[in-house]
Amino acid sequence: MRSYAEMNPAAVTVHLMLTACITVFCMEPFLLGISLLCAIGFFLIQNGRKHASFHIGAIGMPTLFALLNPLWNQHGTTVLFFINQRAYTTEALFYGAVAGIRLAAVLYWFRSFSQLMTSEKLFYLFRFLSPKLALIFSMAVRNLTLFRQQMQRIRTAQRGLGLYREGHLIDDLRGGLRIFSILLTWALENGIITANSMAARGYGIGSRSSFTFFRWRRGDIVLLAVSLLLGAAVTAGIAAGRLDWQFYPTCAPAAHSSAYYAVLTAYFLLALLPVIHAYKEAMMWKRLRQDI
Amino acid sequence: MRTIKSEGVRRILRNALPFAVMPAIVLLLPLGLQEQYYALVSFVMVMLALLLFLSGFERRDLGTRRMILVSVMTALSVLGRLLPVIKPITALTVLSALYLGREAGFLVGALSAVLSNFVMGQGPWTPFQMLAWGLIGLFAGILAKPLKRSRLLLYAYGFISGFAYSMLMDIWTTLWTYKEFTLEEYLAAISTAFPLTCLYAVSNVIFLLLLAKPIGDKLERIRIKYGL
Amino acid sequence: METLAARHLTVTFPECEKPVLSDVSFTLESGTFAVICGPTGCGKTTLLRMCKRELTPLCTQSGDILFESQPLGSLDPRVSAGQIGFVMQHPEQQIVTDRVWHELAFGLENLGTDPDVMRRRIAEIASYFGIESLLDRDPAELSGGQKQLLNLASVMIMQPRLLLLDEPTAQLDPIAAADFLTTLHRLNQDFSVTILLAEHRLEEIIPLCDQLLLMAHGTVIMQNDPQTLLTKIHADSPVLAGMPAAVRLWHELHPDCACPLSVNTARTHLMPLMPQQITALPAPPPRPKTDLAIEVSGAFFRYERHGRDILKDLSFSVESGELYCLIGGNGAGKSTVLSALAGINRCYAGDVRIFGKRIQDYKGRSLYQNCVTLLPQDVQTVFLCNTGAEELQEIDKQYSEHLRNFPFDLTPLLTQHPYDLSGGEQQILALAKVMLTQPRMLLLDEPTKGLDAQSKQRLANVLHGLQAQGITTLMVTHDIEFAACHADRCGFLSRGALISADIPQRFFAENAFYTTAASRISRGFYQQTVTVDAIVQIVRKNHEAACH
Repeated sequence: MRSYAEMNPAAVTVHLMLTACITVFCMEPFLLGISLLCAIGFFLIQNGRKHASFHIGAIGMPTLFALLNPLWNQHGTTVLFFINQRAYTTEALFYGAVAGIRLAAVLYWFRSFSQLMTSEKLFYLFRFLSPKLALIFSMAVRNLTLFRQQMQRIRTAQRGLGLYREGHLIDDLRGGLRIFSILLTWALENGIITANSMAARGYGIGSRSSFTFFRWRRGDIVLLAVSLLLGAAVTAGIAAGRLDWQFYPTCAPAAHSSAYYAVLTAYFLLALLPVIHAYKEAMMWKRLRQDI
Repeated sequence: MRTIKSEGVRRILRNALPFAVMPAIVLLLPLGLQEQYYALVSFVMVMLALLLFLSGFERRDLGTRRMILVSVMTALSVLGRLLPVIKPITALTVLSALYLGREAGFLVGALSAVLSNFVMGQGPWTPFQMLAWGLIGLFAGILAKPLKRSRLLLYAYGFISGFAYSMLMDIWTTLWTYKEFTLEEYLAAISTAFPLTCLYAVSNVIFLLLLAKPIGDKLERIRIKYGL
Repeated sequence: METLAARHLTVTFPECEKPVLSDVSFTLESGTFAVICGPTGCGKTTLLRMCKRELTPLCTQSGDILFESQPLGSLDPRVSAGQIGFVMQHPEQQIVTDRVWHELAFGLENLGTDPDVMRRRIAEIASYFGIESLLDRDPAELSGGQKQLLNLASVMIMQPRLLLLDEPTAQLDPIAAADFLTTLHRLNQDFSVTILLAEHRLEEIIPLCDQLLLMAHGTVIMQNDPQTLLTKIHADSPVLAGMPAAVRLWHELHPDCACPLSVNTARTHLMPLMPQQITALPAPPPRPKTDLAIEVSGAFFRYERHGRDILKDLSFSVESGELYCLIGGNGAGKSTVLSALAGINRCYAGDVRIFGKRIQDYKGRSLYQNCVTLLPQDVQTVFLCNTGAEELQEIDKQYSEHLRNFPFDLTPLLTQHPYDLSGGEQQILALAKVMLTQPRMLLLDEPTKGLDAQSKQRLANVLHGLQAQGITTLMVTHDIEFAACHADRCGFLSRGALISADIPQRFFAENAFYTTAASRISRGFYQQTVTVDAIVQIVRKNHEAACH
């Protein structure tokens, strides 16, 4: 009964990165359309009705790109009209729209990814690269929270001394520098305590093991395997040129072969995995409730 | 990196990577590859360079105290990146590199990029930013001696790294918007970003101007106090 | 079996002629709960660090330290790291990672423990310390007391046989400190962990410990069980100032009973021996009335619009030239009162007047110009330069001129980096720095936190000196002993409102729980004796009366 967000971060990362990277490197309007729809679906499952402004921004992107691209892109043959003696073409308009959809889809995927990847999941991922690096990362994340708190304390302290006042430009700049400087000293000087605390608990005496609450369960392995399989299929299809779409000088869609549909379907499944997972979970929950 | 047994080969690889990877991406690939795969391949190359680089740190003995300082400087530059408009991230990366060494410089740059992007927005550009800031730190670490000796050189380095950063990111922009890489489009991207690039470069100099002395003094004192 | 022993240990720091530790010898049997006490600078911290190889400072050393009969230097690194635990003073900075569970796992990871074993140990220790619900939290969100318990837990998870603690409760409020010490005692009783603790909050710990090590001038001059040692200790020994009220009382009066260690034993054994012809001191003369420096009436404040009121119908006043202590528990709103008076927070209702003028009528920075200054709890938020002198110059180039009347000789502090000073010295330097803005009123937030008895006395002298120059001081504090000894008036803050205010003698005599140890000891015997000095005075008066 684990939600997608609770699955093994490595499997989740592989899946999301495959989905997003294929989006980044493929300019096929239908694939991008599928990607955007699935990305929005996934984002809605994660967030419900929150982040309305993000939706407005992301959805506005294709329109904006479509309208603007013809202004500086002179490729294309079907001229709609001229602005300052520069041609405004249908092809450029279309290309802009597709590029906008791609950007919107990528933004959605990465936004969802950022939301899912809490610092402990990132820590888990960094460990694959280098446990030492993972530790530095974890310390940096901790410092970030710590410094924010301390910065607030310093700001209050400096105001209480009457050395700094908010809402006054010069004071803000000078005060900002003071606060930063005080924070820096504080952070560096107190860092030695952390170093001692690490040494006292035996950091660096030999081979380390590392602990994590994340495990590989059947669901995670299935997710990983399915993502890799579908991802490989889509990538192979793209590499074989099945999805090549020509925009300039005239639009020429990819050939509607059975391979073309197969690649699109594979990508659709790949991108829809989180939604399928959520649906499955919901159904299972309902059934369990009914059994009671 | 860990699978390579010989220490000598490892060292050569470690030092050659930054010098080899960047020119390779910029120059060699368009010659040998079909344009449409250029974006994908360069992305993979950047990822690979980063992964190799970062996993190399496992074997390096940074020392506990230097690790702490790296985490402190990273957190500070992430906090700094949340400032409006101008970002001290480059200045902080450069200064960390000068006083804590090239590895530390690379780490501060790369980690600040990925961490701050959790607020600024993660995307396929993240690895490029990580590499760009990482390299700024790395080179500053390599050039530490002259840069520490002459303030003027340091400001120049800040100014140049503003442009270098922008130009590297423009490669990404070009790939991203045009799907293929031609010099013409690259130049167009550079010129579009030019005002912003200038702002970057100038703000780097301003931050170095403001921060070089206080941070330098503090890091130097800590270096002595910690016995680094 | 002995767990820890030192044999003629002498330690000298580089570039120092005098050794920090000279000829230190002591032995701790396994399962002992030992407390080191001694004045600041007597080498407590150095001694503790010498016992933990990983933290040994750079020095030349002669003599031996033995852990379970083995020289410390010859221990396996895993034994040294795992079997000897060390907890330091600062709760915040000892934490390494950004998750509670990971912090617990950290030590075990370093020892290369198997993940399944770690899983079990984390579960065990979390349940023993009652922190299971915190496992997924970021340590930054925890309270100071919880952080320090986490530090203790993440050392205990390695199952050490010896636990060294360097002033672990100095930064905690009294309730969290008592909690921490109780946990220590429980660990000692339940697992027979040998404990060596350096501490200056001795009131609670002395009755619990089995051994006291008395240090002076870099050596252990006495080691014994607390009862015997405190009986033998010289009456003008500087460590006596930090001892429990019962011990100090016994030393002042030398009654015909064993030296009591706790309030309870003092009440049952010592107080009945005291003469009771005179039971009260004459009331102190009332302070001459002066103008009001602070006048707060019906003030309300909250941080968030829909949050709860932090200040709730707060009314109180402070006369100019007074030293006023505001006491109260955690979350009573003490710090918020100060920030409201310093113009950092604005009350949404009620009237706040500083020197008769409404606070909102101080435009711009005029509130801070020769008027009010707030010294925050964490004085490190005030320092930004490399030496004490630069810190002072930063505010005022002619600092030596303007600090001529400062009641403390700052010269030794001026050449050092502020972070190299002791906690007490930092406090005084920060105080000097804020005094350069030439305020008429000082607002102090917990100025005695983490200070030992002598530093507190020194701070009190400075505050009285400033008071003599006409400066009004309002301080908020948890330190009721300090308030009882040095305040002109005390106020009790609870849930954002002032519950009572009076001179300390009456204030603490009327409080039953929130009061000084001396007051609890003498309750029912004498009236309004809230300090050890007051009890001693009454007894002397009784003796004089009996002689006449």
